[in-house]
Amino acid sequence: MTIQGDIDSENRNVIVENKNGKLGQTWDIVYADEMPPTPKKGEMFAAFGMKVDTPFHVISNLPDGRFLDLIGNNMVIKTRNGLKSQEWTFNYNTRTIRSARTPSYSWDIQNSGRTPNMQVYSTNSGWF
Amino acid sequence: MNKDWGFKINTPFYVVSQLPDGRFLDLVGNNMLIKTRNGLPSQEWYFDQKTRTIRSQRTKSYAWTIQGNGNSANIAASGSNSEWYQLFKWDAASGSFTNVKNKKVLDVAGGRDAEATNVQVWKKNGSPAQKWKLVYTTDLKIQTKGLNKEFGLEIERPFFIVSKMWMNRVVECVGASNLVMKTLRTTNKGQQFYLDDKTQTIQSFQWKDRSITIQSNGRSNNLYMTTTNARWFQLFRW
Repeated sequence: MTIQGDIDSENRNVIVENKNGKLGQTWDIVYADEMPPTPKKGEMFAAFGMKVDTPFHVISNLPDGRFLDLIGNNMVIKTRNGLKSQEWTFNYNTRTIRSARTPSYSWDIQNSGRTPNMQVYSTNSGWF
Repeated sequence: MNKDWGFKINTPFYVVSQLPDGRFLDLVGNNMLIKTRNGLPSQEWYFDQKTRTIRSQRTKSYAWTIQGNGNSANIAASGSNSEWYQLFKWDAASGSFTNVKNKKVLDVAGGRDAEATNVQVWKKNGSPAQKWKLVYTTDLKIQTKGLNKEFGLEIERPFFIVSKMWMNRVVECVGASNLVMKTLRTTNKGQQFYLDDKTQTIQSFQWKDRSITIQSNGRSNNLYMTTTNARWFQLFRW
């Protein structure tokens, strides 16, 4: 059983294909009476390592300990300033890290993952 | 009981291969082959006392018949006439069905223990391909709950099929037909499936007469849900 094209998107078709070991062919069977409840606000979502809908800062381990910040939509490090542009939350439904300044925007590898630059962009839950 | 022929009279039974996978003698079209148990009448037989033939429960006028008026190796089911090539005796001690005239026995072609292997008559050689169990339907012990070891799933226990891709979407049956990936909604029965013990297919918890199927009788790569028939393109192991 394979997700067609290994594309993790809503309404993606399911097919059969020769086994290839890719993620689109790997599944869990979870019995309905053992399905864990959806994590609520403040609860840890272990698969992604973050608490749900709980604001956090991202602080560089470089000597000056600057905070991850936004200038426009680009991600930079800056001295702590108490602004929303330095706050982030993990959203369970989209599995993305959202900006507290612009909550409809999430961390995004620019150009759909084809560049190394990080920015925030309209949330789409693509792998990037 | 007709002791001369070895059968209870007019009492439905299964014919189960003693090859390791224990498939059942089945009637597909008019041909006889071995298949995984599916609970359908095509796998049920009975001894008809009047004609001394073994009849199909699916098509009761049809009896086991060596094709070509007994000149072929193949066995099929066709209209009952009680000619010698339709007459077989059951011997429980040896586990064999033997034709009364040519003494050939019911045999899995090539000894191949695989889904839909043809069944024929062959000179007796004592191999496992020629050994069977006759199980009256009332005696079949059916596991109704717990793990089905062959298919790896708990019987009749609803489950979600959860992708390991990062969004952990689940498979959903949409419109009683197509299978697509959707965000989990635990109350949506279209996202729940279960192993049906009778047919050993994976059925929809919402549309319980439909099973996961490789489309076009297995010739496509698309998966969808359609009416259960328990053929190989509806059988999946976990």
